[in-house]
Amino acid sequence: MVLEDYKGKKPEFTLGPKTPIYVPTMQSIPRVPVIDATSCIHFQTDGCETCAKVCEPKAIDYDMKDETVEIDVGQILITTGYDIFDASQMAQFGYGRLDNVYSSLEFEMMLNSTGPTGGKVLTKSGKEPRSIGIIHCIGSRDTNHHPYCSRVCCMYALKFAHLAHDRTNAAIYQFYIDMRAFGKGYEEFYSRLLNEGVTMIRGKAAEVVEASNRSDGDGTLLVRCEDTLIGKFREVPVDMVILCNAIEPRKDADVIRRLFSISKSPDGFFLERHPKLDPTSTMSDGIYIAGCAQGPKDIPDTVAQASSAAARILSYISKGQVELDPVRAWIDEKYCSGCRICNNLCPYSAIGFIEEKKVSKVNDVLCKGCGTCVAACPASAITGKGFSDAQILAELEGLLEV
Amino acid sequence: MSFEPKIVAFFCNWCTYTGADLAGVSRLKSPANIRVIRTMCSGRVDPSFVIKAFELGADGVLIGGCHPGDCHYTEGNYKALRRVHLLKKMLQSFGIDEKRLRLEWISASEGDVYQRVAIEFTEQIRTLGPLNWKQKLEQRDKVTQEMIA
Repeated sequence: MVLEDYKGKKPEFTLGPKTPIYVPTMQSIPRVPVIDATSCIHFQTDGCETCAKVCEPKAIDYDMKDETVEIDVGQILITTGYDIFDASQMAQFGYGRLDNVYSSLEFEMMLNSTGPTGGKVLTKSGKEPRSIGIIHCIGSRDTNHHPYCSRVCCMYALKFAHLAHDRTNAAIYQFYIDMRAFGKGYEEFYSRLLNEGVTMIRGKAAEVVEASNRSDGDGTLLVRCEDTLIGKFREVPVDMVILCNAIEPRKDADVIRRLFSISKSPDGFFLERHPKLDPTSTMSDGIYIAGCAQGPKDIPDTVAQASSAAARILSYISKGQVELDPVRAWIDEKYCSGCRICNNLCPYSAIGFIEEKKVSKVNDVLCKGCGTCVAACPASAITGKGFSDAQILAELEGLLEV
Repeated sequence: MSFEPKIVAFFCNWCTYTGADLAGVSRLKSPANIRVIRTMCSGRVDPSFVIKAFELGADGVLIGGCHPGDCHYTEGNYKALRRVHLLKKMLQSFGIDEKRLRLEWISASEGDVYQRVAIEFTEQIRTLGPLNWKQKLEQRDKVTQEMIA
């Protein structure tokens, strides 16, 4: 159901050549390669097996199949993470259309020393860029896409600038709306970058266009923007553009949400029980959320939230008992006529029928106290503890007295 | 004195009640005519509560639940929907305009939707005028009694 979307998915980013055997991501755990059956010659023509011949430990098994494993658990922590905003939706920045316009994760991959360029910052033609433009807030802080701030972009944009400055002689321009260096040591890092000679331009870039070809063959890009600090329009020629894509909820977040019956906030991320006092548990008992599944956040915040959720889960495990809300339905056998209307209504199948007595009975552990059966019982034999008919009618009388 | 409608609202604990709470926390102004009763699920709202509310002097009843597919109890909101459809038919035969009963799906994050619905519904009931159902019933009984006598 959920997994279908990701089946046969190629490596996350597509810098450099791809082979049918690949490690899904740099940080995969376990870090083992997988075979993409849709492009592997062996699976397509039934006769290659070159990789099996060269693999000394004989680790390649062509008969492995996807399997679904069912595990009984008492508590679940949802950390499904995020997707990045697809920048090709904003055609003005040329992502996917112009060469040398990269998304943040693609550039991150380029910086990786085990990445496709071995950590070198290179344009598509393999040359070192003479200048790099970093554009903030692509899809975030934008009422046409996501109104929220993605929180991490300012800092990784500064990190990009720092590393690119370190590894190349390129001039670096940051196009930002506001600089949000909010965490411990962040503001200091920002000051350091200013001293390193990174050019900060306050104003969101309007568009990226291709400038006339230069003699060395690299089509130089032109970033158009308004510099709001000097109140002038500027055109900045660069060889490479990095877009700071917004963090957005996973495409299948709604499927996960319904599976666990948890809510989402207006921005589409999973909703916590309380924004300040209970930011890691949800309205559903035993379901916890952490990381970017709950909202955009950086690594320290994610680690803090996930640790908090893990501690909470462990505290329940060590207690060995689960506390339930006392809100439960209860059937008075005296009045139950045994019509069994309630039996089928219960979404949790918590109501059973006692054949000998010809009455229905609620299983206290399964019942969640929704009260659907209470409202439906024609004999009013079912009481919802805490929300009984008498209590609600008394509330009504009180409310309508004046 | 201008007519101030009395509106009883049954809100489910997980979506609409939280949504209405959010409207308050976000300082969105909404009419004080709405008097809220919290239930765990919109499926808990017994149709007799609605009738009782009208009898006790309510001019309108608002039921709020989670969006379809979002019910904390899987499907309580669908049950509320079925009951409201039947109840509306029943209200008509009682001589109560079905517009006086409204079912809305408002999620926990929709404080602004709550505000809009609350204002809209209050204005609608204000236009419909007072119901005075109890007095009408008593009047009818009196007429019947006189006819018998």
